Amino acid sequence: MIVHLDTGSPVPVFEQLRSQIERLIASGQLRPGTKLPPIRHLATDLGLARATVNKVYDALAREGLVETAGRHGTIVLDGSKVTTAASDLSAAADTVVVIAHQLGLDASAAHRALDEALRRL
Amino acid sequence: MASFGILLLALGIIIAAGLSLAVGGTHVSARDVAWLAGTSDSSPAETDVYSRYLQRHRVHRLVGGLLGALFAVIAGTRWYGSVSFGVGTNGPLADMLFCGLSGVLVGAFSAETFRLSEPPSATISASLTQHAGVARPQLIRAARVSSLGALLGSALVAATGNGLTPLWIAIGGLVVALVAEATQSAITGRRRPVLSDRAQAVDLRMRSFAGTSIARLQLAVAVLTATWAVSQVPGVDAGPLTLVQALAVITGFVITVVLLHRASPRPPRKWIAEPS
Repeated sequence: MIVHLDTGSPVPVFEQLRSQIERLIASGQLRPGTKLPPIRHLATDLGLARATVNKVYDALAREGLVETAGRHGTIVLDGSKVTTAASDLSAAADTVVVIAHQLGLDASAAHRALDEALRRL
Repeated sequence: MASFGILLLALGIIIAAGLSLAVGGTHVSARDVAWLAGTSDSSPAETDVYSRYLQRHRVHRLVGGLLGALFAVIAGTRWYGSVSFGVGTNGPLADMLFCGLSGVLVGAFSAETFRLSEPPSATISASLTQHAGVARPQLIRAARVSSLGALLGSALVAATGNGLTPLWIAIGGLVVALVAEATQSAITGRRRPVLSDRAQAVDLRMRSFAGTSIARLQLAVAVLTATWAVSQVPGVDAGPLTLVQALAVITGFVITVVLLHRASPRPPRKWIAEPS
C-alpha cells in the first residue's frame, strides 16, 4: 500500500495524500479496520510536517473514512459509499489526452507515457 | 598532585581510545557483515551499507563509552578521591561502569540519529503499512519494571528517612533509561525504503540488530541502577539481610556485565557464517 507525492506538482501535498488514501479506501485496498501508520511515522517517511499528515487524517475523519481511536491509532472505516475512484481515473485520462493534444503528440506517445508511468510505480 | 593524577588518567584513556581506533577496533570484516546480514550472500552495495552502519555504531559507542569513563575518572578523582568499577562506596558519577554504559547508550543514540542528507527528489513514496514494532519488547518491559522498581523502592527509603542517596541514583538511572527509550523510538520511527524488497530486507536486519542491542543496553543500565540503589540502602549492618544485599549486588553486577557483552555490535566469538 504505497502513496506517492510529487513535490513539484501544483497540487498541494496535503491534497495529494488525502486523495490517494481516499482512493485506496474507496477501492477496498485499505480494508475497514486497517490501522493507518501513526502521524509521526508517516510524516517521517514522507518528509512532511506532522501537522500536514494530521490535517489529512482530520479531513479523512470528517469524510467518515477513518476514525481516530486515541492511543489505538487511526482506523479505516467502510469506504464503499465513496464512488470517486472510477471518475478520478477517467478525469486523469482526460487530462493526459488534453496535454498530449496540446503538445502535438499522437495517441501512441500518450500510451507510451502511460506505460512508462505504470512501470515506474 | 590530584590534578596531575587526573591528567595522567585522562591522557591514558585518550591514548587507549586512539590506539584501539588505530588498530582497527572498529574495522568491519566480511564475517561481521555476514552476521548482521544473516547471510554471506550480500551484494557489494548491501555490504557497503551494512559495513558503514556497523562501523558507525562501533565508533559512536566506543567514543561515547570512553568519554563516559573519562568523566567518571575526573568526577571520582575530583569529588570522591577514588574511582570505582561496578558498585562502590562512591556515587555512580565516579563509577566507570555506570558512566561508560551511559556513554555507550548516548553513542548508540548518536549513531541511530545520524543521517546523511538525501539527494533531492521530486517524488516521495511511503508505505501505509505499520512500522515494525520494537525488537525484544520483553527486555524493554523488564528494563522499565526494573527502573520503576528502583525508583519506587528508593523513594520509599527516602520517605522513611533512611537517606536520599538511593533516590538520586534511581533518578540518574532513569535519565539514562530515557536516552535508551529515545533511541528505540528513533529506530522504529525512522524513514524506511518502500520500493525495493532487498532494501527493505537490509533495513529490517539493521533495525532488528539495533533494537535488540539497545534493549539489552537499556536492561543493563536498569539492572545496574537497581543494583546501585540496593547497595546504598542504609541500616543493613548485620544478619541475613547483609547476605541478601551482597548477593543482590553481585547478581546485578554479573547480569549487567553479561547484558553489556551481549549488546556488543560484534558477532559472538563462536559464531560461524553459513556457507552461501
